[in-house]
Amino acid sequence: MSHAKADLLRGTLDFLILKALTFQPQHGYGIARWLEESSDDLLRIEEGSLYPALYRMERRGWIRSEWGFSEANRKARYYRLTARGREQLEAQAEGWDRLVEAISLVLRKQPG
Amino acid sequence: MSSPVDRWIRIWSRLSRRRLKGEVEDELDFHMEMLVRRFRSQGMDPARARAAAEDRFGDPSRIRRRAVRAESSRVRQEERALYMDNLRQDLRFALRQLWKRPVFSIIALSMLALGIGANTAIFSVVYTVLLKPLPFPEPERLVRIWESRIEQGWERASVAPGNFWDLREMNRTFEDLGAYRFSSANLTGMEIPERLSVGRVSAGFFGQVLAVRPVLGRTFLPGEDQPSGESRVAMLSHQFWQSRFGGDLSALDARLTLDGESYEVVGVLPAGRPWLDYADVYVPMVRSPEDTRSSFELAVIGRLRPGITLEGGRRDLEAVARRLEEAFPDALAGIGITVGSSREWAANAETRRALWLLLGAVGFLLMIACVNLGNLFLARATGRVRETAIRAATGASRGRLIRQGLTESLFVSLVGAGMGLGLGVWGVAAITAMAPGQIPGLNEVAITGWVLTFTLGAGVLTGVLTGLVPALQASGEDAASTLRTGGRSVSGSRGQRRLRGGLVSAEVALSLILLVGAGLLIRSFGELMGAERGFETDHRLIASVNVPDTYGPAEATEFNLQLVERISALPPVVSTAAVHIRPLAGGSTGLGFVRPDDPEPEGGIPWASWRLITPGYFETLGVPILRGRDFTRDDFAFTGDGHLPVLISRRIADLLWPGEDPLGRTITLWAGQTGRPGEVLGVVGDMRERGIDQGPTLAVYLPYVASGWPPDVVIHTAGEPTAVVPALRQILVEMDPNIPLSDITTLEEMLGQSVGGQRFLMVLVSLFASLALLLALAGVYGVQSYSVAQQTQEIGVRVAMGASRGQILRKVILQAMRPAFLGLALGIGGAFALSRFMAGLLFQVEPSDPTTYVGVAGVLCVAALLSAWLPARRAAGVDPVIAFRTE
Repeated sequence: MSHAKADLLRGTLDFLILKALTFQPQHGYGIARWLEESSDDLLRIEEGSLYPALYRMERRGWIRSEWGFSEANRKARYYRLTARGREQLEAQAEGWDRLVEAISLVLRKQPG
Repeated sequence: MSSPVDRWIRIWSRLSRRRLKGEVEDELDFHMEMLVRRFRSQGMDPARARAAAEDRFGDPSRIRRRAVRAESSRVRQEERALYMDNLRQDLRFALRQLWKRPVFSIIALSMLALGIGANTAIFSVVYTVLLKPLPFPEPERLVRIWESRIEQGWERASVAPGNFWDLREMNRTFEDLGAYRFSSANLTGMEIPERLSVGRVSAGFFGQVLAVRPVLGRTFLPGEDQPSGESRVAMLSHQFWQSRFGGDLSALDARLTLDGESYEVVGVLPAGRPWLDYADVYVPMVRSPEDTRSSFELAVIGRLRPGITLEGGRRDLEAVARRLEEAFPDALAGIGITVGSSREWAANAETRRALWLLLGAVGFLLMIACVNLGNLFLARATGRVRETAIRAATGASRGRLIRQGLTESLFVSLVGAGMGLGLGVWGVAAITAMAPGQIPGLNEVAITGWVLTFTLGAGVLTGVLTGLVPALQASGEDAASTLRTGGRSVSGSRGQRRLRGGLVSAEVALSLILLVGAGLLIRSFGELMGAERGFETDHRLIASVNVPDTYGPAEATEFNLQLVERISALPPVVSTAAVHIRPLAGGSTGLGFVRPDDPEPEGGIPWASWRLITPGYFETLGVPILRGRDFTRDDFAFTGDGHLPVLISRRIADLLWPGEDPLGRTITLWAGQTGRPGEVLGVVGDMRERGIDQGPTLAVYLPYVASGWPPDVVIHTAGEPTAVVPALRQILVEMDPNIPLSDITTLEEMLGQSVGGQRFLMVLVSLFASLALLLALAGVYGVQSYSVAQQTQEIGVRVAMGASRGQILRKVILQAMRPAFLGLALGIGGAFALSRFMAGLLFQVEPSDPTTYVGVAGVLCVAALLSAWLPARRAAGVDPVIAFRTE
């Protein structure tokens, strides 16, 4: 896996996690399920890799965590979006939109 | 990431890694478990569900590793933030506390400023004078070399010129040996003639031994100290270059006329000390076949070859000395060599001891300030017991409480250190202004990096010491019981009372030690000033008349006698005389003396200083002529080989002719040397003329007939002594306009200077001791009134039960005095042990001087009693009703 690709994927993962947390605070398993469902099972990630990403993002102050209890009364760590995380999400969303637009432009280009 | 805080945090996180790992694992396990449960609910059997979950989750061990790494860096950052946050909070808290109690803060800060300021000032002196490295490359290879005659009891004599040249040539362990001899010369050819100090040095002295680079020009060349070489060359000291040539390059083209000989200036030395600042001008000391082996004249230094130890150098020189002894068995019988490290150059043993003593004194002062401060914090911590207990109960950890206490005390002591630094700068200026000339390099004292480090260190140490005890004490209280009793206790807990008692003992002991030191120095100084000097010092002017060597003996004699006659004709002059070495100057000329019928007395030939004088010397100095008579002009006309007419001091008379009449007797002078007979004309009183802290000298007085010894004139005036200086100059201009007058001073001033070191030490130590006493009293009084106030209720109960005022007074005072007595005992023991180090600094006072100890202990006892009695009296007058209401 080349570096550029890895960075793109990692950036994308961060972006998706942030999006997942906009609805409600969620634990890692919940984030994985939300990603699965909302992408109609198209985006399937290695779920364990969520965690290094989560810790990294918490360190950057985009998300905050606290221990709570899951639906099944199991001890679980819940992540919540911070104000900075929200800003980050908006900035990334905008960048994503522009990228998609640019790529579509390129793809729609007719020969001639 | 290299600040100590960061490092500390890293260590801490490593310790907490296990906890962290546990949390990460919990989280990952939860995820796996949920996945497995999901696949199971879709109908898979446990084993397949597990496999599917693992497939979906990814390699658990790899993920765990990555996760732990990410998580620990996050935790680290969080902890650091928390730490900084706490620190900020603690500092704000400390500031608020200080602000809320301005009296407490002012007292605490000024005590600290005083203690740290005194330490800063003294340390900068100690650093500059004793610790600062010498301004020469590889100073550890430099040594000082002396001749010794161990059998005759002297270990450190200057080196005889003849021996120096041999030691220099025959040793195998030194890069070079250098010799220095102080002399002076008349500088003429300028507007007014001037007396210069001239250092005569062997050629390698500056360039090879000290290895200094000249600021300008060159150092002396190897041949310039040999009889065959060109030796009319001179180097200027930096100071002389600045003052005489304005630091101009043209100095190199200049020629100086010294004692009538013209010298070419070849170089300028850098500024610095020692050696470089000893003289105005340096010229080569020229080797001569007549160089003596028995006159100890040269200061000799050496630069050891790389890798040679001081002891190795000494053994080598000692071997050379053995060979010289074989070659010159008469002159050099028993010759030995002493070698000393260059660390001793900066200051002599006495100065060093005095400075360490001063540093010790301010150290004690700071300790007392610390104890006081610790006590203040303790009292305040006790006052805050309830607050602390509440904080502890609401979840503040013990460590956090201690840290908060420490932050506060460190903050206070660092602010105090800052103020102390300011005070120290001022103190350095004050010390420099009052210090006598004897401490070398004092004018260079400055606040340097080392001094700043020292001050900072003192501040931190103070903060930790003063903050730790109360912080531990306060946080150690059992929160629940404190809250139950409402933070009130009848008279403080037992532990606290013991701690406060300990503080009182410490203060009393520390101040007693300092006071004993000061007392000994004061007594010693009193003894010194009260000692029988044997001569008068008031209204006596003294000046050097630099008659050049070009005057022959007859010419010089006539000049001296005429000069004295003309001076005594001046109206304000009571009497006057000339002498070749002035009293109290420290220098001396000496001779051995015996009775002709006992040429080899038991215990060796005694040694006396000799002085050339003109008639009227004893009258002028107020020295009694006990028997016989003074010289007259006729005594100056004796023939060359006959008996020299002499006057002797009483101690010589008592030594040679106990109980007999010495008048008219013959005495052999320069016994064991050239040997000349003298006839005793009179006996005069003994003088402490080598310095009043030295014993009375044995002295032989001779008529002033030789040339080559320019005279000092001593003038006893009716009025202000310096008023005769213009008339003196006028007489000299009339007699010979080329002779400069120099070193004009009064005997009073010389006396002041000769005891300047002792006075300086006494004044400073007394000052520090008084400050210490003041601080200690304030501290003891504070503790006593605090503990009495704590007993108010108990006393009230006793009063209500019918105890009399006297009974209560007695009880409170007795209780308060117990730690004070313990402190007295400890202090006396400590003073006894420490004052031994002062032995060399005391004049006719024993370090264990009972008067001082009893006096100081008495003063402290009364002071402690007073500081217990005042609060006790207040307590005894307590109205029980009020006492019960007090909380």
